[in-house]
Amino acid sequence: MNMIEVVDLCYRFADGTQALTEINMTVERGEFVVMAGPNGSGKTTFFRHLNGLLSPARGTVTIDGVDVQHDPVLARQRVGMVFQDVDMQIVGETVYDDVIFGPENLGLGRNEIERRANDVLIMVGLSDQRDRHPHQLSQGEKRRLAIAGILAMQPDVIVFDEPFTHLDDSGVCIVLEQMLKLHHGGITLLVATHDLEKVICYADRLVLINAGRIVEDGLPKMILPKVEKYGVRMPCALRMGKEVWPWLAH
Amino acid sequence: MAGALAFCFQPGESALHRFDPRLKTVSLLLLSPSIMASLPAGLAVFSFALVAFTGRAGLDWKAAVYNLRYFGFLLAAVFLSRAIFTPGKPVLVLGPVAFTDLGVFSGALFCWRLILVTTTGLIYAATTHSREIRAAVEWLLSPVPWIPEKRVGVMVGLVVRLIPMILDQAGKTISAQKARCVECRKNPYYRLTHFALPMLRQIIKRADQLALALAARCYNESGTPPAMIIRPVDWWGAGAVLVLCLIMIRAVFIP
Ligand SMILES: Nc1ncnc2c1ncn2[C@@H]1O[C@H](COP(=O)(O)OP(=O)(O)O)[C@@H](O)[C@H]1O
Ligand SMILES: [Mg+2]
Repeated sequence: MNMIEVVDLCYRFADGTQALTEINMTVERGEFVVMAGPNGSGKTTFFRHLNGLLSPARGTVTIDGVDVQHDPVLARQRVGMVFQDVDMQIVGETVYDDVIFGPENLGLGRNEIERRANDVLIMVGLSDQRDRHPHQLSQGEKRRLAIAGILAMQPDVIVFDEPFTHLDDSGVCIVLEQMLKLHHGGITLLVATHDLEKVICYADRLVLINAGRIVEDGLPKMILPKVEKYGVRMPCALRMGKEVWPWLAH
Repeated sequence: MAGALAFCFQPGESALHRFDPRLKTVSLLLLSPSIMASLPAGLAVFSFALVAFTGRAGLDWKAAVYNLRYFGFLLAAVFLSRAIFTPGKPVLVLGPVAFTDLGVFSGALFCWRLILVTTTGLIYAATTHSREIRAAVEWLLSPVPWIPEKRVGVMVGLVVRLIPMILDQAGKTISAQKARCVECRKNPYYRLTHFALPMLRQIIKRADQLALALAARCYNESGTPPAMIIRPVDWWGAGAVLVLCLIMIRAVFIP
């Protein structure tokens, strides 16, 4: 069964802005999908439908066979979302406190919460910072904390909304490594960005969105030559007629 | 959120942090009216207890006082109006205004009470996690019929998160305006309207973002309650609070 199934999704904001028009898309379990489009093309609005933060005006979104509208809490547990602005995502008073926020809301037992929190803090490399105030962390650490808070809910899908915003080079590499680790662990990844260079080498699929419509969808090497038509910058190497290299030099 | 804010939880391990949230909340509810009814002798006893007990709670007092500096204006206004308008024997005459002996006494007393009530509330907010406040409120309301205590708990949890956010936003709006020389404007009406509107807009936007962030992580009416156990030392603490309250309201019964 497909992990994500979006059928005929339309969405209009209260002020009349038509943000999404007839979106159709399926994502298989374990796929790594990059969604590219200029600012205002509808990436964030689309992602917010995947965990029920917005309700479609028309159409349906199903996660692993369950309609999001039917059970939004389940959708939020299964689809973790890393917001573009991490400061807005972090709600805990300490690093540890933020990680256990989701599991507590799911009503898990104390022992299970403690176990998950320890596991994910080790996974993202923040276990020695668990008692710090989140606002004392660096941008890269904050993003890892946001990821930890989501991983603690054991999602099947993680969506990253412009994950490289405000990150310096080492921050980008750390977050990218984290994404690859999740991908290899079998998690389905969706990444919204207008900056293809950093991720496109690792993606299975590239989806272009423009003015609320999906305009291209396919293998990255098939779609890349067309991106500039839709206001997305082509990776530099490609412009010079060369191949795009992995961003992480290993 | 930059810096420690008043009304903001400050994590710690002090006795106050570990005081059972239910008894702590009941204590706050008993102390506030007692303070407002108390006379100087009772206030002195309570002030002494407050300083002696919370001096070592590891709270960031400097930041709290700094954040509440405008509260000083309110206190000054309360003191002056009481000191001038209460009838009594004039003790200090400055042109047309006269400070009366009874007025100075009642103004000072009222300010002292306000300071103590505010400080007690701040200490409560600084040492009680939002999830504990929520659980305590639910526990207090659960015997009351017709009140959906879980829903009220969710609302309390939201308000507790919102207050520091509003203070933080006020600070940011002020800096943004100072950076563009708002201080050169002398007209207070201009400054107020040009401060209040952008600030309100930002607060609404941030409240919206906070709601999204909470919803994305399944914030709801159920959830794992915090582990709360009342230890013997908690009963002793509650007993001490009760004694303090009785000392403070003694004058109400024994003239
Ligand atoms: N709360 C809102 N009210 C009205 N219009 C909005 C709102 N949020 C976004 N939009 C509009 O919806 C469109 C899609 O926005 P968004 O999904 O944020 O794009 P992206 O994430 O790709 O930059 C834009 O035209 C934007 O102006
Ligand atoms: Mg966006």
